Formats: sequence, structure tokens, C-alpha cells
Amino acid sequence: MSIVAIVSVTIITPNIWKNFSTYPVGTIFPILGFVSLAGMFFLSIQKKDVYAFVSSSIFIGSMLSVTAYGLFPNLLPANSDQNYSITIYNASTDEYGLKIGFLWWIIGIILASFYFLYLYRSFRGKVDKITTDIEY
Amino acid sequence: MEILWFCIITFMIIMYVVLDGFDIGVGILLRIIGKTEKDRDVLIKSIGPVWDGNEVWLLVVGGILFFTFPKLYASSFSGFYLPLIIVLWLLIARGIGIEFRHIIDNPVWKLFWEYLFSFASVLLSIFFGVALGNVVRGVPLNPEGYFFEPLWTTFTIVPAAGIIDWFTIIIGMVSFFTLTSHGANYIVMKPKARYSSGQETLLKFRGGVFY
Repeated sequence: MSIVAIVSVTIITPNIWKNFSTYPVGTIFPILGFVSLAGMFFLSIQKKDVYAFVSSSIFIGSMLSVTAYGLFPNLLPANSDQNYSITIYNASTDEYGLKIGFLWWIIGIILASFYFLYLYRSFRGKVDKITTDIEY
Repeated sequence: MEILWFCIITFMIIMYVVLDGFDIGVGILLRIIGKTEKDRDVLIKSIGPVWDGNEVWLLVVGGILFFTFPKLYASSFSGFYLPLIIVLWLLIARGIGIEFRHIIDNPVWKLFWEYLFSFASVLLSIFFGVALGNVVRGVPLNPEGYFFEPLWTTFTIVPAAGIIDWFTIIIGMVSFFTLTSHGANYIVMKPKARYSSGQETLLKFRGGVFY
């Protein structure tokens, strides 16, 4: 399926690989994707379940990064006329708003990180019917 | 600052797909792996405390788009109005599927909510892929930055392409298999492995056989 998807993306939007040739540093993402895919396969055979799950997560992250890197600076490309594409430059709010938003984002992401650390730490370990009190 | 926000939004989307992705995967596999009611109880408990927190990442992405890239927000939320409403209903169906299931201890009642939960999870995984496919393929934006796409037209890539065409279906299927495998990896890792007869099926789903 991955190969079919890569071929179809290349047919539909060949420009998506342009950023990778202009700035080769981005090739780290597809490489990471294929390594994590292979890793997930072998780790699951070896029954290293946590690492297999981490590999799966890295695969998803790297594939989405490939998409974002290929689309940059487009946010929503136009297939009617490239000049109509919505990019990060013609769609953004003004500089002041972006700066203030970033400050609030830092506060928010710190709070969210603590919340998720607490949530997943208190929910660590295996789950079965006896150890979980909450009804679902 | 624009580049920084582009990176932040990408990061937030990745966090959403990784975290809610395994919830969706568990939903897809619920009726396949969970052969008995006890198995399904364990599966749902394994995502019970975290599924709603994971979905908040998606809401945050929407909020961030609103103030960082308002033109994109206005354009995509009006152009993708129908699929967004469908996604919203599927998210609602998943939520009530989990929360209503345990209210009445009746096999028919539980069966209904389990199937709703699984059905919504399957469709949601495909729709997220279709959405990504639309972004990659491009949309018919006009000079004012607006567009309209019907749900489907001829399933071909022509200027009047619909939201669903052969390309977006392929990306939708990749999304479905990716999230199914991600969910299978979570199921092996998190709940205690004591599935009556679904264990062999589970092993087929993980390890990326569909990739």
C-alpha cells in the first residue's frame, strides 16, 4: 500500500518531491519512515511490543512530515491555478498576532505536556477487567 | 514566524494522529479481536481514560488555524463543509459508542454501541486519509481563495474532481491500514493478552502486513 501511495502521489503531484531535491536535509523523513516500517515488522516478530508500537508511531510521524515538507510553503495547493494556492505567507495573520500566539502556545503546551505525562503515567502497565475500576 | 507556526501545526497534527490513531485502530479491531464480551471490555478499558484527551489535539489544531492562518481556516472550513460535518458526526458516534455502551447491561444494547463505535472508527480512518489526499492533490481555489467540491463526481482527477476520487481513496485506504496496524500494536502492548480466539488475527494485523 505504501508503494502504491508513493507512486500515486508522484503521478498526481510530482512537485511534492521538489523540496527534497532543493533541500536534501528533508530526506531524513522518508528514510526514517522506511527504517521504522522495517523496525516495526522485525520488532513485532521478536515480540518487543513497546518498541514495535514506538516504531509504528515514528512511521506515522515521518510520513506526515514527508507530506508537510513536500507541500511547504503551501497549506492548501490550488489545482486550478498555482497562483491561487494558499501558502503560509498569504494566509497568515500579522507578525504581532503570531508572536503573542506563540507565547500563549508555549504556556499551553507546557500544561498539556504535564497533563499527558500525568495521564499516561497513572495509566501505565497492562489493563484487564479487574485492575480498571472505571466503567466503559 | 510563519515557518515556525507551520512546524507547530505539523507537530500538533502528528501528535493527534499518533495518539488518537491507536484509539481509532482499537475501534476498528474491536469486533474482530474481541470475540467475547470480556475481551471487548478489556479493549475498551485500554483506551477509556485516554481517548477524549487524545482528541483534544485535533481541536487545538482547529483553534491554532483560526488565529495563525485565518484565510486557510475560512477557505477550508467552507470548502470542506460536508466532509467536516461527516467527520464531526463520526467523532460524536465514537464518543457515544464508548460512553453509552456500559450504561445498560444488555447484550443487544452493547452490540449496537460496539458496532457503531467500530463503524465510525473505520469511516473516520478512511476520511482522514481522504482529507490528506485532497490537500496533497489540491483543490479548485478561485482568486478569492474559496472553493467548492462535491463529495464525488466521476472518481477521476479532472478539474472538477470531487472530494472522493481514485487518488484520495488510495490515500484513505493507506490511512485505514496504517491506523489498523497502529491499533493492533497498541492492543498487543497495553491490554492483557487473553483474547479468546482473536490472537492469531491480531498478529496478522500488526507488523505492517498491509503496508
